[in-house]
Amino acid sequence: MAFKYEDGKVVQVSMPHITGEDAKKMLNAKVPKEFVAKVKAKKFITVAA
Amino acid sequence: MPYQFNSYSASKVKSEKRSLLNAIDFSNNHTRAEREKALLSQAISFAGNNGSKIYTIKDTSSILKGILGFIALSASEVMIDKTKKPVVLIDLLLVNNNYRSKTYEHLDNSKISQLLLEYAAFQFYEVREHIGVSYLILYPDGGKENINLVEYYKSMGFTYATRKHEWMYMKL
Repeated sequence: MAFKYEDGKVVQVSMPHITGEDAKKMLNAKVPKEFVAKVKAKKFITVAA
Repeated sequence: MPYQFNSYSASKVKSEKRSLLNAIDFSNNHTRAEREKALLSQAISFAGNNGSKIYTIKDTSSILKGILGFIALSASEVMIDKTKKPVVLIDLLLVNNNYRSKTYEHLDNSKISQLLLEYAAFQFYEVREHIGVSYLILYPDGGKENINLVEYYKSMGFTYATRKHEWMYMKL
């Protein structure tokens, strides 16, 4: 979540800055193909509320 | 498809703020319920100012009644080394307490949270049709202490972005 609940109130969380090995891992991460194929095969219906 | 998503415009969110806040049952645990209500309220405030987009999911077969859950999405960016990467951010994912942790055969044999995450990925690809985005990211409620939630997100394909174990991402 972009915000979290802490000490009884909601506070916004800063977006991350990823560096070093973590950055390398994130850039080289693999796309979860099975999950993506499942999502793309579905025909989600969205209607305006 | 036995379920559908409702998208809420900012004006609709503003006019229906109260009914949205009362649309689902929160946790039976009072402290947790307060937390969930506060987070939903925050997401609704964001959405009322176009800072986030709220969607709800409903069972069109009416086996499960009312709103099954919420998901709120927004555009953001993360810094990876010195490069800014555009992302779709899951601001909120909240399932009606009555329907949590259960798998429903008539809903693609899925949990509600699973359908919401799949929908987030679907919307990610819709966005990508128009503008570049690289990752789907989220900040697990309760942080790394919420082990069950973190493990669930991992099982869906999310990975911790850093060794601080805060943000999680899925490359899409």
